[in-house]
Amino acid sequence: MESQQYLESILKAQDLDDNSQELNDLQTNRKDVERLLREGFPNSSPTIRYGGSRAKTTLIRESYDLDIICYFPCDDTGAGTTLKEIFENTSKKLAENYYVDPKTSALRLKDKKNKLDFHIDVVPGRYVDASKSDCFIYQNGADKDRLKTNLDVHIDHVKNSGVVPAIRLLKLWKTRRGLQLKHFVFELLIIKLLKDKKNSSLETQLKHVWTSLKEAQESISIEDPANPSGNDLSELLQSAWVELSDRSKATLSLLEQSGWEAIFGPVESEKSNGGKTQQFVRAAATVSSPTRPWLPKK
Amino acid sequence: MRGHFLKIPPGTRARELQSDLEMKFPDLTVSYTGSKIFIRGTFPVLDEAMVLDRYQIEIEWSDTDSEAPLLYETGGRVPWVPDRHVNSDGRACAFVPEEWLIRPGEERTLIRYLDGPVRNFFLWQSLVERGESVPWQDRSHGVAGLIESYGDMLGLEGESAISCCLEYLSKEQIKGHWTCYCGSAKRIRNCHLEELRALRLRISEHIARLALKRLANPIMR
Repeated sequence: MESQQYLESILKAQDLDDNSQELNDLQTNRKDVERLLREGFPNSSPTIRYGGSRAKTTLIRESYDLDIICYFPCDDTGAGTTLKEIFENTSKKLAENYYVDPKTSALRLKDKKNKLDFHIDVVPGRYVDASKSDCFIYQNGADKDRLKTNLDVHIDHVKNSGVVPAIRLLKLWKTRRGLQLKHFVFELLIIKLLKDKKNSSLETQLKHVWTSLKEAQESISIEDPANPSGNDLSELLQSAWVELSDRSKATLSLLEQSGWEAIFGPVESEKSNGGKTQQFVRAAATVSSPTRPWLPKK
Repeated sequence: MRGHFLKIPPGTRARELQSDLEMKFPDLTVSYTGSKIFIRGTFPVLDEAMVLDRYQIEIEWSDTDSEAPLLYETGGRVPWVPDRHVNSDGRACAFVPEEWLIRPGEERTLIRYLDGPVRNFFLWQSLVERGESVPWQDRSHGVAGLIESYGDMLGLEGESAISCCLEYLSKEQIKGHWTCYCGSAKRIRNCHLEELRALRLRISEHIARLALKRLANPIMR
């Protein structure tokens, strides 16, 4: 199989089609989140919509988090007067139905009983003015407790970058390697590195990104298109740089020695669920020295 | 034993572990924070060369003789419930720690950990997720599971015999006048002395002490 064809097949296997169980579950929870927030703040009219990779079309099956933004109008105090209050009160409302894990600016939702991750982040915020364009979001535990952002600018920047397929493949690469860098920052980095390679093949684009990361002695500077002067991303990128650079080097060397399958694995065949289960059963039957799971608490 | 690893700076040790992973688990990334070493990424559940499933994981690695590595499933796929052997803090319990620590140092490598307990644990999870039965049984929770595990290690049954035997193994020297752990009321020199000596060759004082500590406090690391 040609490289381009192989990489496209890998991408296709990462699609979440509209009827997939994962998306159906996400949509059910999204409805519930919206209902909770609208009923919880009856005197407010927040804008509730998709953000993140779903809106930016960079979603991949292996890391399919759904961002739901909940932005209150600038003069709306129904959820609180300060950003901190909005963040905390939104969290309280969601906690009626979910286990809420507060992140820096998002509220991660999990099942209340078993903490099963719903892959949903709710991002509360407040619009800067009546134009409902720029927004302030709370920065939980950060030096600066608020950050100006603009969802539409982010979405347009990524969606219209011309390199969405490369972003999705590199996101898969980053996820598989457990690299500790926010997807958003990684996307901005890829867009910057590929600004002159939009018409190149996927193979060329990926190799270019890895080579650039491998060769850059220091972290490349990027800026947040929604807040170029107010959102300093350098620290985030710097802390992940050595790992990013080392793993790019290792990837290029593996690619040279063993080809693309060594990087992304074989293209998954469309096996029936029953067929796959039989493979698991067979594999389990060949375990010669099983380790038996335990739990400290009764 | 494995003390030499503890003298290696974490950065150097992390590079060694990364290089160990290159051939079989190139997706996994080794990093370190302070003195702690972490392995993160997507773990492939392999059947020979075929990838059956993938789980996002984090391992806090340990080269010590007293702490087993800690395993977490980070993709949010496995529920944090006792029946799936995941603690309320997300830590997966692939085994009773002493089952790992009792192995000779040269067998406690990262590759063996991934190929053995980690693969078994996720194979178990994939089967349970599909509603299939698993050919090997999981352990009971809490102290009951420890008794099963230590009983397997010692070849004994019964909580009092197991605790007594561990107590004897935790001592520097075995004394013939001790009452035998088997419950016969005989002196051990007239009962199971040879068996105890044979156990001593496999189970160090250190492991026996750890096991006794865990029986008193199962939630210790």
